[in-house]
Amino acid sequence: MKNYEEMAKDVLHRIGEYEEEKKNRRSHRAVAAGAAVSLCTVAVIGAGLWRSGAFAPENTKLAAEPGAEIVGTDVTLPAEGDELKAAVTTVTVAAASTEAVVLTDIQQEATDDNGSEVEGVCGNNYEEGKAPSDGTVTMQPAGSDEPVKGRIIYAYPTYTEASYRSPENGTFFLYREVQGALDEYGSDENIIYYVIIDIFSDGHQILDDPLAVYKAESDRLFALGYTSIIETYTDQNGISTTVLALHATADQLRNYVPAENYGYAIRMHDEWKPGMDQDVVSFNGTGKAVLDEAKEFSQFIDKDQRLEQRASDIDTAE
Amino acid sequence: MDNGASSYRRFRDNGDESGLVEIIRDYKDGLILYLASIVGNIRTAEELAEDTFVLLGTKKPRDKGKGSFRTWLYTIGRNVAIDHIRKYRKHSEVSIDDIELVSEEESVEAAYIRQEQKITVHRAMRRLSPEYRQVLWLVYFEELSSKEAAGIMKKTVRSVESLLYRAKKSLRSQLEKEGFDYEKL
Repeated sequence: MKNYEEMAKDVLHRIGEYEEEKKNRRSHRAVAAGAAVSLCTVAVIGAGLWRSGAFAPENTKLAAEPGAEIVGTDVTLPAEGDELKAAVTTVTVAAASTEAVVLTDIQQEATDDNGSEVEGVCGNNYEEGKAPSDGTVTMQPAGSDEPVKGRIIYAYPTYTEASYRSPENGTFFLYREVQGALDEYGSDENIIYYVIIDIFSDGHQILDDPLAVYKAESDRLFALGYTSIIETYTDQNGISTTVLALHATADQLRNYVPAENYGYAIRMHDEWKPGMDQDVVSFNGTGKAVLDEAKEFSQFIDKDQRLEQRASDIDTAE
Repeated sequence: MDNGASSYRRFRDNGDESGLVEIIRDYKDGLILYLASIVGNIRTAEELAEDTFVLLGTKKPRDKGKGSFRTWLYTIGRNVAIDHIRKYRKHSEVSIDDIELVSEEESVEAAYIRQEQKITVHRAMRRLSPEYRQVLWLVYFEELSSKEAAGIMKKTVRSVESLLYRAKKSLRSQLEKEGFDYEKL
């Protein structure tokens, strides 16, 4: 049997061990929480950059700018009354120097070497008969130097699955998520929809070597006042996919003008996934808003708070 | 509350370890013997008493200040013992160790119980059921009231008094077998 001094010694020793273990558990939790937060931050930033196309080859030059950091992106629409309607996509980067530089990702060649500010319209810069390089974004020229800021809707949730009949020649249809986005965001002049057009011929989608068709369609749509974009992506397995995309207003989508020899299925540029963010149903097409909103919303735990914040943002934007 | 309460408060509120050491010094033996009345094994009772003090030192529970510190401490000890019994339910209550540890228990009781008569009674109690041992220990050795014993054992006062009556009867029978004069009980 222990005397009281021996027992007291043992008891105090065990208490000390318990306190030490508690301290370790706390620090482990803090490290684990920190790692989780870092991981989430990296994931969010990665997702945002991926969406912004920062990893695409056409942005190689931007990424290669020493010390450059992307600080903002904007999509601009020409002012009303212009003869031609087109969009300008600009990527604002902070150069290594303190002077801010605005680069047009399509027209990087026009950027001054000394980093002066350049903001210009995009040319139809793909070469005749030559496939765009992987990730090339080609836009039609715009006709205005007084751009209006716009917001791009490029994903929308439907919570349903649907199968569609191939569109007959001379017809088109809108996927349900496109219709849903149109219903929610309507015809606001500052809202543009970023969609992909699948082209069909005699009930079959044109998948083999579609570039020539896309180019012809791009010219036709441009002549009709659309902003068309031919995009080529290369996945991690090296497989390239080329799509014809549009920056279109609601009216342009609703009143899409099909060619007689093709059928058209119009879908949102990106598939909306629950994992993106339940509260964010639309995104800035460049990915900047995704990142900002994700950062902003991550500060709120309470969903109602998030929704209030979102409503407040929308009011402010309006 | 008794002195144990002030020692405990010193430890809990000011981190004064000497407060806990005083509690161990003053209550260790009584708690061990009380817990032995529950688990039937003096060595296990000693471990459980130590666990009880460790629990005081780590969780730092707050006493409600309704009864004596000893009553409160024994209640915690009893809960620790019950947890132990639940955990090791499959093991027999009285093991071979009991036989070997009788001398140890005797030394504890000799140190704790000064009166020869009480020591004899306590030895006789070993042959009683755990509940009888407990109530007799609390009332006759720890000199707690029926109300305090009821608080520790989580029984009504009426139940404790009934239990005490039956425990005394059983003890008397046991003492008779050993030729002990129980008239003073």
